[in-house]
This record gives sequence, structure tokens and C-alpha cells, in this order.
Amino acid sequence: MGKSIQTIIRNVLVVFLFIYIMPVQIHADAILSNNQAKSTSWVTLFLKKDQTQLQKLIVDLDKTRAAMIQDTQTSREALSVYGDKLRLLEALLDKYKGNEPALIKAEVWLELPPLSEADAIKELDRLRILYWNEGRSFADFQYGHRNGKDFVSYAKQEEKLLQTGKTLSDFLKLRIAKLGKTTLKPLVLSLASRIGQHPDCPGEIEALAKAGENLPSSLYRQWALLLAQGSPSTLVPSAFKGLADSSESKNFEKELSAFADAYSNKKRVRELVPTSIALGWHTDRLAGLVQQTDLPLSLNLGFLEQFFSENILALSPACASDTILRRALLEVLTVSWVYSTRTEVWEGPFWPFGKLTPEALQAPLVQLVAASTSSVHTDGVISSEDQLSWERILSAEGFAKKIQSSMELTSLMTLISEFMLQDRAYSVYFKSTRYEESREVLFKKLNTAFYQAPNVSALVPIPFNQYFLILQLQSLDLVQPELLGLLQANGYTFTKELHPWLLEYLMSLCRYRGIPLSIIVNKNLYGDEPYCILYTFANSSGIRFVNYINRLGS
Amino acid sequence: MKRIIYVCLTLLFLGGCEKGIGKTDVSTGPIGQSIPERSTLQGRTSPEWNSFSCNLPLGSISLLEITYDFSVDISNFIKASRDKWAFMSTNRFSVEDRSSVVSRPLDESGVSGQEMPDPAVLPTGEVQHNWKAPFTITAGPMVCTNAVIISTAEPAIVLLNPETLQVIQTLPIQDLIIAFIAFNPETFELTALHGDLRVGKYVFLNMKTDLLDPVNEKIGPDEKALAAIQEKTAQLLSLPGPAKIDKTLVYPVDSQIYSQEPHLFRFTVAEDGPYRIYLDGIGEVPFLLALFNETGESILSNVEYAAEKVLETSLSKDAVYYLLVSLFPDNPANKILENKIPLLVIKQK
Repeated sequence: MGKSIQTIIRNVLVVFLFIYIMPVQIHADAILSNNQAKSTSWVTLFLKKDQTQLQKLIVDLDKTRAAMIQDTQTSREALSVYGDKLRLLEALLDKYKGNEPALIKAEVWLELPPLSEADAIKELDRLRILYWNEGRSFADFQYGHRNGKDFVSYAKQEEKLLQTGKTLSDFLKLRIAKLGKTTLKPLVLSLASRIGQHPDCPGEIEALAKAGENLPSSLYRQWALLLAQGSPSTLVPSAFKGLADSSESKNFEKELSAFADAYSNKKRVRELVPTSIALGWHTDRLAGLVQQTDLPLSLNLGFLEQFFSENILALSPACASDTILRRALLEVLTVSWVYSTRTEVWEGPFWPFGKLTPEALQAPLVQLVAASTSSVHTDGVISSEDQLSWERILSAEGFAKKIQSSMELTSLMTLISEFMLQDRAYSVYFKSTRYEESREVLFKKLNTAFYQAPNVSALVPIPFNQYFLILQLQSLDLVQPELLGLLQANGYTFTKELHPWLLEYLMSLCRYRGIPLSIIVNKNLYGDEPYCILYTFANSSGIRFVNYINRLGS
Repeated sequence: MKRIIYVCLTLLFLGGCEKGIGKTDVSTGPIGQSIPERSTLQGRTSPEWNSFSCNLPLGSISLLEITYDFSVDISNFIKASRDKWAFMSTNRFSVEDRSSVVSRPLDESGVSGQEMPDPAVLPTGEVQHNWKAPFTITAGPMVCTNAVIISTAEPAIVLLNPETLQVIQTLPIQDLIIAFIAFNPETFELTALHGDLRVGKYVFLNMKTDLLDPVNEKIGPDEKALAAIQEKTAQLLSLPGPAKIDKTLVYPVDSQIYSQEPHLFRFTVAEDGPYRIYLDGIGEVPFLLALFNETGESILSNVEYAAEKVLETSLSKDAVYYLLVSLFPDNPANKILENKIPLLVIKQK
């Protein structure tokens, strides 16, 4: 009964969040589409002599946009690769600093180059610079591709897009002056679908295009000409002349403002990416993992000042649907939370926020936690009376019994997988002091098996995530480098049945480390990011930072 | 200035309500004494100085409640927690280098007149004692007559002896504390702010609490029933004291008799009716089977009237039973069983 209510609450929440975050996706009758973004059939609306020119312009626009999409994709992949490498090396150095043979052994096991400690720290510096440069160019739209000897930046391509768009728009101006709405509709929807594919275009384009369909003819023609300019940057209320006072155009104006805000937020929050990288460097410095202490990884204080003066939840839609942005947001928020609440780092060289005070960071974060706490707590948390049924005790007893006997790794893994997927009996087994000895036996067996594998790849085919969970469960410590490497090798995938467990683990971890759960688990902020990713990113940012503060001076 | 006035007011107030501590100033001197005594902090405490004149119970700590409280002004408490010192009597306790508690004597030699000195402005002497914490100190110090209280990032609440700064006790907790908000010296309740903004109320207790494991509790038997079972078993096995019983096993998950010591099994049956209870693989070795109900009352055993090898009895599906199985300790016949593990069998007849 309790469970079904929880499920209902969870579903209602999910539906609500979807409505809140991604208005576009839930409309089954979307009016924009990939096919329309490719379509040029509307050129037949125009005189034969104009069609060739139109074709040429639209192909130009499409080509430029395609290159921008490709460059963005490449930059995002680079960010993700550098980020993973960096996190793994940090975890390795954290665990094996001062024990070089063990470090090299672990590197080999993880199929990384066998670097000495000094070389590993150098490599960390090098990776950090690469990561930082990529993050900086990502935020500044300075990434791009080579064309012969020339480097063509994304920003340059955007300029080109706008130029071609302007030419197209001017070309169409006289030619559509007498066309009616019905005739223009295929052109408008095709152009709007093209803008929808622009890498910086927010999901709000769909709602805007829908509102546009209700505009009177004269405004509809203006709308077509604006769309022809090819970039979401031109879609602003001031670009429209004579938005009349009819309710349709008022509604359109409202949608247009919302679109323009979403577009500007989406571009602005990219600054979170270099911010998270720089904050990570500060943590490494605190941990003694940097060689060059004068790296040019400066925080954009202007951005941060503005970021912390706003309602963070209002900015979150710009991040929630984008994996790179929401992960950067998670890192920035968790680390900032720790900076703002731990007095130990307020003084001297540990405070990276310049003139921004801890109080200035606290206000919006506290507001965020206050606004998010209730929703996190109703979502998927299982009450304790729910957990202790006889069936679960019997399962736990049976599992403890079987663990005693000797068995091959594969049978052990099968046994664990079956047990972990049973109706939460593992909670009973892992929490009760009754099974303390049995757990020790289990951890010992797992550890032996884990490190007996010749390398990380050899472990990939087995149900590694249960492995990961159980080994991590021994402590509330940072994720072991071997486990992180294993997760990365598997693209951070995780059996969904284990999600309730991970949530419970995150709850204990958050309490233990002094970070509110709603900063790490929050659908408003991070959309559908799986717990496994939330956990590993929080681990390598805020939780790692706390780990070092907790040992300051000792 | 404001602070000094406040301290003085607090002192006046404390003169009336603190339990007889620090009443050494002139107001208590004999009437007519011509030369007034110099005011001193000797024996004085004040919540303003993070010190309290009470003896803290030193057994354990219990978390009373934990709530989010967004109405409290967090930054104020965090600001307050930056002043990491406490004054008590003529001592100053402070946190230095984020992980050391240091005590220094206050130098009152320059104090004259009747006005109570402000400990915050008195000069301090050399370090008397020093305690290095294994983790960063996150809140405190706060002093009671018998303990300096701090919290560390372990996370734990640590109690130190105020005289020597040696650890009296480290009390591990689940939540990282970042500031102490309040302390009630009457109830020994400490209100603390956690890193995730939850406010926790901890109470210091004099006893050691042995937390019962909920799984063991559910498997039983309860304390009273267990005592009755132990007593009866001792009687049946002719032991000098109550029989030692390890954790209760759950039949049929467990059925092995792996040593000559008493094994206690909990079991239920699916259907009402007559059952046979016996040990498979025991051979000729004498053994004890004693059946108890949930409250520890003895139902029957295989040794009381005649040494039976099989216990036959009627069992109810609505009842929980405990069955004690044991060899007779130090019986030479037990040796026959070396490397053999007899199994308990409970079968419907």
C-alpha cells in the first residue's frame, strides 16, 4: 500500500518535472521535425528563376549549421574524455600518493601508462590545462575546426550563419510580401525546424513556433523573415515591428520573451563548465595534487556574482536537459555549498571566490535547498518499517549462509546479482550487525576476486555494478580508482533495480559529508541524470573537497 | 563596549542563577571588610564564553531529533562558530590550526578593582595543554566543568578533560556538525547545526546504550525468554551457570550443529499437527533437544524422562518456537563426531 502511494507520488512528480523542464518533448503533436529541417520543397512557392538562388542560400545555411553541430559535438566529447581521465588520475593519486609501486600497479591494472608519482602529478597538470582550455573555448564559443591552415571558430561560423541568413531574409522580403499564411506555412515550419537544430537553440522553440502559427498574416510574414536569418540569436521581441494588441500576438510575444531568455541563459550557463574545472583545480591544490601552483585557471567572478545573486532554480532549465551543463552545475553547486558552510576554508589561500563572501554564496544555496527538500524526500525513500519483513530476513539469512561456502567468482557474482535484485533483502543484510562477520567474509572474497583480475577490461563482462556497490559499501569513503575506472569502462551504466539502494547510500553519504541531498539528487536541476552519475560526479567534486577539508591541519 | 556591557549583565544575572559557582567576589565578602577583594574569574562560567557550570554525563550520546530549520539564520551561527574559543574560570580553550585544542591560563595580575575582568581581553600565558585532533575540528570548544566539547569532521563529538585535554571519549555520529547552536546545562541537550543545514538535538547520557539490532530483535528470543532458556538449558546440561548461547539461528536456513556448544534455533511450521524433531548424522552420541515457546517456557525435552533420540510433539502453525540443541560438553563420546556435522531435522509426521 505504502509502496503504491510512493509510486504514485513519484510518477506525479516525474510528470510534473517533465512539464516544468521539457515542455517540448511531451507534446505528441510537435509541429517542428527533423524532416522539415531538411526539406527544401517549399522553394516551389517561388518563381523558377529564384529557386536556384534560394537553394544555394539554404544549402549554405545548412552546411554552416551542420559544421557548428559537428564542432560542438567534438568539443563536448573532448570535455567528457578529459573529465573522465582527470577524475581517474585524481582518484589514483588520492589513494596511492606516497606508495609508488601500488600506484603503478593500479595504473597498469586500469590499462593506463605506468607513471611514477611525479609524472602522474605532471600528467594531471597537463590534463587539467587541456580540460580547462576546452572548457574555456566551450564557454566562449571559441572551439571549431581547421579549414586548411585556418582555424574556423564556432563564433566565426555563427557570424557566417547570420550573414547568409540576412541575405536569405532580404531575398525573401519582397517575394513573400503578397503570400498568405497557408502558403507560407511549409516555409515557416521548415525554417523554424532548422533553427531548432542550431546547437544553442533552447527547447522553447517548439512552443514559440506554435504561438507563431496564430499570428495574423502581416506578422506571420515578419516571423518568416526572422526565421530565415538562421540563428536563434535574432529571435528577440525587439526584432518585431508592430506586434499588435491582439491576444494571439500577446501570447506570441510572451513566448518570444521566454525563448529569448532561455537562449541567453543557455549560452550564459556554459560558464559553469570552466568554473567547475577551476574549482576542481582548487581542490587538487588543497589535496597537494598540483605541481604548478600558478596555473591560469581563474574563476569568472563576474559570472559567479551574478549566478549567486539569482534564483538558481530559474536557471536550471537551461542545464537540466544538457548532460555537460548539468554535470558542471552539480559540481559547482556541491563545491560551492561546501565552501559556503565550512569555515575552515574561508580564510587565507583556500578561498577562491575573491570578494564574494560565504554569505553571498549561502543565500541562494539555502533558498535552493529550502525549495527542493520536500520533493527529494518524497521521491523513492523507503521507510524503515517497510524494510524488515520475515521474507527479507530469510533471504538475508540464506545469503549469509551461502557466502560461507567457497565458490568461483562467477558463481559468487551470480549469487550476489540475484540477491541484490531481491526485494531489498540486501538492506537488511548490509545494515544489520547480525551479518557483520558475513559481510567481512564477502568483502574479502570480492576484493580478492577484484584484484585477481588481470586488468579492468577483464572485469567488464561480469555484472560489475553489484560489485561496485558492495565494495563501495564497506565505507563512506571516496570511490576507489579501480571502481571508478570500471564504471567509466562501462559508460557509468547501472542496473535500475539498484537505484533505490544508491539513493539510500547517497542519503547517508550526504549526511556524513554535510551536503544536502537536494543539491545532489534533484530532478529540477539535473533532469533525468541517473543516480550513478550524480554519485560519481558529486564524489569527484564536493565530496572529494570535503574529504580534504576534513583533514586540514592534521 | 556593547559586548562588555552584555558580559557584565550576564554576570550579574549568573550570580543569581548559577549553582553556587564563582561567588567569590566582593558581594559575598563579610560585611564591614575594609579592603575589597580583587575580582577574579576563578570558578566562573558563562554561556557568553561558551562555558557552563555543570557536570556532563559522560556515558554516551543520543540523537533526539533532526530537522531542517530554514527559519534559523544560518550565517549567524556559522559566523559565531568562527570564534573558536571558550573561557572557563581562569582558562582559555581555543581551536588553533583547525585541528588542535589548546588551553592557556588567563593572566589576571593586571586586574584591579571590583569590576569583573573581561576574559576576552585578558592576556594569556603559555600553552598549558594541547590536543591534536585526527580530523578538522568543525565546532566548539564548549566547556562544562568536567569536559571540553568539540565536534570533528570524523564526524564525531569528542569530550576532553579540561584539566589535561586528554580524550575522555570520542562519540561517533552520523552527521557532520558545522556549528554548535545552543546547550542546555539542565537537560544536557546540545543543539547543533549540520553541514546539510539540518538541526540536530543531541543529549548526553550517563549510561552506555547497547543498541539492539532490529534483525536480531525480530529473530528473538527477547531478553527474558533468553534468560529462561539459558537457565533451563544449564539445568538440563548440568552446567554450573547459565548456558552460553551465541546468536539465534534460523531453521531451516541453518540446520548444522557445528560444535558441541548449545545452538538455539528459531522455527515456525506451516501446518498444525504432530512433528518429529531429530538430528541426522549424530549416531550414538548423546545430545540434548529442548523445545521452548516464544516466551521461553519449556515445552519438552528429550532428556528429562528418558533419553529419547527423537522428539515427537504437536506443533501449531501460529506459534514461534525456539529449539535448543546441544551435545553434552566434555563428553568423550563427542569425539566420534570429529569432522562430521549433524543436521537438525524438523519433519511433519
